Amino acid sequence: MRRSECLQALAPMLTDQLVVTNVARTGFETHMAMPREGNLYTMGMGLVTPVVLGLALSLPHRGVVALDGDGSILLNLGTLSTVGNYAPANLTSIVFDNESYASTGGLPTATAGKTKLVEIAKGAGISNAVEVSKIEDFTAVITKALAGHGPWFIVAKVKAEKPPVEPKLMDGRENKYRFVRYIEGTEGSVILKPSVVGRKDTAKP
Amino acid sequence: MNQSDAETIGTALADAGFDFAATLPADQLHALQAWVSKSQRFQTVAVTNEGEGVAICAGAWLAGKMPVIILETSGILLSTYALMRCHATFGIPTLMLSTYRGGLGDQEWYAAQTGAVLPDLLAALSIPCKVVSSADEMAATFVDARRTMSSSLHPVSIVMDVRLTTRD
Repeated sequence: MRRSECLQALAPMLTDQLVVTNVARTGFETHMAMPREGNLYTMGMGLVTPVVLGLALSLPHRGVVALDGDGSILLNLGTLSTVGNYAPANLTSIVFDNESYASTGGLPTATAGKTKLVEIAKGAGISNAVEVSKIEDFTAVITKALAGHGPWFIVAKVKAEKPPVEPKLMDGRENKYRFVRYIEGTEGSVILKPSVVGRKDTAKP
Repeated sequence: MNQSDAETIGTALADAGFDFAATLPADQLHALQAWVSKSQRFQTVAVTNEGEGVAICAGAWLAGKMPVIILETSGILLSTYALMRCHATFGIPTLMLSTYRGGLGDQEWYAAQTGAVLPDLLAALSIPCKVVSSADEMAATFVDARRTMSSSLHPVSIVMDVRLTTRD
């Protein structure tokens, strides 16, 4: 199974979910397969799932999706315990597990050895933890996950490869502004308050 | 920290608009953390490390919350990667409300070096910092912190000095 296949399958299933992606090709391939204002690309290693957890806890009525990687989640396994204990029903964490640090030379990750991310997630308290290696199984479990009853932790076993990608002509700050504006527009909220001109901040003292 | 100061500081934090708190165990802060965790004015998350905590706070801010992480001095060291790779890179604010272990008056040898590097560390991270020594100062300081967070879109640090966090 290829990560790009998974993303092509995921794209038509998304509506207004908020999506945060891992670094490197996961971000680029997501941008190619499903460019959306509700995507925040290229979050740092180990930070994808915790950022999504913060979104999920703060917007419990809204689906949020992490597009994470094996190397990234291995950097911050403690966050699986937090996901398990707080158990946000709206959170889906998809880990594309290619058993390697594919974008930086291809050294093997721990999942190339004895480590099983699904077993770690279950032990952390995430009962909906599954591993898939066929695209039809990926599609089936994503369909269930996006319907709710999470948190879901889906390990998608994919090939370690470095396919050509198109440039993403947007840095993280522009991406952040667009992502926040999308949330403001769809939630009817005001998050960015860069100036007090024309707006009263009456907080005391 | 004594119970009275914990209530004063927790109330001031909520009054200033903070509504999402990540917490970790900290010997000198347990009264404040317990107060915040019980308060209906905060959504609280007990996290496994400070890097995870500030990243969760980043997600909360993106969703419209005003986040604070209540943490040990050494937790700031632990969170530096997340603060740079997430907050500074994307422009996402979070308040770090911490102890000042190793600050002037701390009597524990193991905290000394952490406290000694804290000012330079925060300066290197371009994180504005205010050291506060009285619970009565906190209300205005929290409002200022929230205002700076909104204008700078960068983390802000409030460090409570040793006398404040160790007062009986």
